[in-house]
Amino acid sequence: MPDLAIAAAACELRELGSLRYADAFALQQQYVERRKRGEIPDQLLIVEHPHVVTMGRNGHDENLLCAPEMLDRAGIEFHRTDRGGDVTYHGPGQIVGYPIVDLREWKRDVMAYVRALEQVLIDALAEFGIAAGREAGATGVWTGQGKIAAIGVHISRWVTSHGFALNVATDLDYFRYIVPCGLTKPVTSMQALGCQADRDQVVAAVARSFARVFDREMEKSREVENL
Amino acid sequence: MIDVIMPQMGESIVEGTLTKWLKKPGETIERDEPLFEISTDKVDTEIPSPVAGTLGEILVQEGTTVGINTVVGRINDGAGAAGRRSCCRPASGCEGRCSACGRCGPGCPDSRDRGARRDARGIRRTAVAAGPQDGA
Repeated sequence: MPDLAIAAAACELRELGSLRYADAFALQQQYVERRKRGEIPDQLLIVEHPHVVTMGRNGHDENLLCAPEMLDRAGIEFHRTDRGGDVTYHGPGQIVGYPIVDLREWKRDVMAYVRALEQVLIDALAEFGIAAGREAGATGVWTGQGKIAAIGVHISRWVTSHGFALNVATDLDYFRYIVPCGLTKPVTSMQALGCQADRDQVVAAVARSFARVFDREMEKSREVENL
Repeated sequence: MIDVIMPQMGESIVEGTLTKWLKKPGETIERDEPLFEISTDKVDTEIPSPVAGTLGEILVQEGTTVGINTVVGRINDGAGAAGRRSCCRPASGCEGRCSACGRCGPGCPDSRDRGARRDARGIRRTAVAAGPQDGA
């Protein structure tokens, strides 16, 4: 009897360490183009950015609470970028995930995709005993103490880029420069909630959760392919 | 002239904000080249042009939120004024018959143009598209 079970599609997990925002952006673009051409399977890129504030396409300048020059003096880069959403901060202690997924091979539904990303993080946080969930009208992942993960996505020909940022041990003081996502609500981190899990453990939980939610077989690949 | 519509990017989505036109009226555009960007909640999406031609007019300005299937602009594909066409490709079924021509889009199961359904080159299948006579 032939094995009729259909194997889950592959997704390559790439932990890229600390990467400047612009470099990670360029890398995403290359993976997106290769994904569009069908040369590679779905990807989950995991990075950490040095301090950076980014403004989405439909961001409002008033949600940046200081001039970009002042950010510069504080050692924080500033980038306008093509993801959805308003302003956000990335920095050390945060897990930034950039899934490059061809939604034609999952669901052609951008909202279902965003809800699925939230689920990935909600399930991963549950592994560490953190109860997180959604808030109506405020995409992202929320706990009783505030927002713990932000989401912003770009889609081109159904291939996704940008993604999520989960605060593991982020220095939350850096959020004082912005009104995160244009919402005047507090932000929090796993560490602020008393969870001392280390980054690798959280990355592993996120990857497991991603595989489950998107029905993907994760293949770990540390090196960046020669693009 | 080909009508360009606000595509439906998922079942629960009823409207979208046109955030940026990537072409100006009069500029030439290739088929599948990004034409404008839309935003729904936390997602920005590039919408490719359904045909090659020149961007004729912009009917929905940047920053405006409109319902799905709203005509946002027109592309002059050189086919002349006779028979302005517009075709939607509904995400499922054929409820979304084109308001302008009453025809199903090529993505529709009822479409006569079976060949178009095999054209799996992306967003166009469920978003914006020209009529089957454009070789879509």
